[in-house]
Amino acid sequence: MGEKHPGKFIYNTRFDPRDGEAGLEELRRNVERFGSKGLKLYTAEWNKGSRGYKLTDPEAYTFLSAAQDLGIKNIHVHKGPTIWPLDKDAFDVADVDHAATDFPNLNFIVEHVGLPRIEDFCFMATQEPNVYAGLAVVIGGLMHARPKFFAKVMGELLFWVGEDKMLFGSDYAIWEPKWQVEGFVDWEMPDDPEFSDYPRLGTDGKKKIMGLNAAALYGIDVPAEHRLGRPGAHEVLGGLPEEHAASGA
Amino acid sequence: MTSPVTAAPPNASPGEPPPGAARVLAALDAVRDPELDEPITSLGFVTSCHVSAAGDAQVRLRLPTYFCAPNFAFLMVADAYDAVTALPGVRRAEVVLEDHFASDAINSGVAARAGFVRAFDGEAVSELGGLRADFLRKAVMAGTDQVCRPLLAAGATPGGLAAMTLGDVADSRPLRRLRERRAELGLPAGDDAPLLIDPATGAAVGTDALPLHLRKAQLTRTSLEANGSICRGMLKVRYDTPGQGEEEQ
Repeated sequence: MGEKHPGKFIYNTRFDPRDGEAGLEELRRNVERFGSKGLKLYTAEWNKGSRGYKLTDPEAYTFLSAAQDLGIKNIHVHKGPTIWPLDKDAFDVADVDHAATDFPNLNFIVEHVGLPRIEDFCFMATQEPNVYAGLAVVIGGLMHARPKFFAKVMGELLFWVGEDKMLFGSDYAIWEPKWQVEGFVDWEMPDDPEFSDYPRLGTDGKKKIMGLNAAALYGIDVPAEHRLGRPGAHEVLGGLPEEHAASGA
Repeated sequence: MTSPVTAAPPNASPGEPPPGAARVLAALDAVRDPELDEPITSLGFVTSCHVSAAGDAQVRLRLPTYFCAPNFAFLMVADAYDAVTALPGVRRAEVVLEDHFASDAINSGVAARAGFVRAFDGEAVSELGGLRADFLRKAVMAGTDQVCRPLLAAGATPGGLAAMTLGDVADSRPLRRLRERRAELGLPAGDDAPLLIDPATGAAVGTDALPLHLRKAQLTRTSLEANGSICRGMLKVRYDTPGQGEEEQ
């Protein structure tokens, strides 16, 4: 599909630190072929008898370091419901905390914000300038099905993480994005005392979450008419990911 | 067919009349989902509960999904077994977890008093005490929000809260629950104990640290209640009959 529509897709790739030298070689080939700037990792995935890994494992650091050398900027980490390993808390985001500190020039987007343990994610993300909230499943799974819960989760994320560090995700293939996009554009924090101490989300914030934040992370040139119409906005939008991460701190 | 948990209770007391099903259900009120910090009864996890004239108790449990975390499921089945066998007049207890991918391992592991690691031979390397304590600490944080929010709404200042002891707060169900959870963790829970403590260390929270502490408490409660609502929703979709002692929320 990407070959049919050149310039319309950005390809992310992947690695598995347990794949050794062959895995590093595959990563190099993928980055060369697709020009990737980001990758997606599943730390709870099983592989050859291993029941998952941590980003802080020495092999993972080797891969993160190699990815950085290849020009990768954005590490999307799946942290959400999984079954195995049986005795571990597979939602644990502590490894992201350490990796984000040790790789300050990489951005870590925690997909599904560690659901159902958003508190652990929020406490961690608030301390790390290069950790972002990926809203995949949050919007698709909660906005319509559990509107009150959705409002509270959004309120907590807006408070702890902030609208500059939240990224829309559609879970495309599980469901289609149109209804999510339309629903989120229309969404407002309920006007109820229960939600009174949560930050509000305005049009600018929605624009950031829907695309401008991702554009900054991936160095996408945003057409002038879609940029935020206030002074200083170009610093966020036109900058490189590192600058963005620093200014968003 | 799942293998049932059956064993003679250690404290069988001959001559004691068997308890009624209502009494067994009341004992199960003390068994909580460790993650949600709610009784398995009100959550709707108890499918059925019977006691024979000879004192043989049979309890069937169910969970919101086939894939609910096996570590939490194990704790609930083991706790239910302990609660039922501790009742005077129970000659034999049988606790069966139904419709779960790990039913067999959990049911037979609990029956054999094997512990989690032996029940999941080769798939788990640590027992679940640490997990339970982690979630008790979360329960303490969530309970702090439940107790403090009404106080703040009634005009208490953060400085005022920092100076309060548990004995200063009017008795309520959330307060009793907070005390119980603190006591379970070995944290101060008496009348003269500070109302606000760090659940990891037991140290009092000072005025400066208090706004953040309360914000964390709110986030933890939001997360806990949201998870509870998701679990209830999934249970309702899975089973069309209410559980024994289930409470709507």
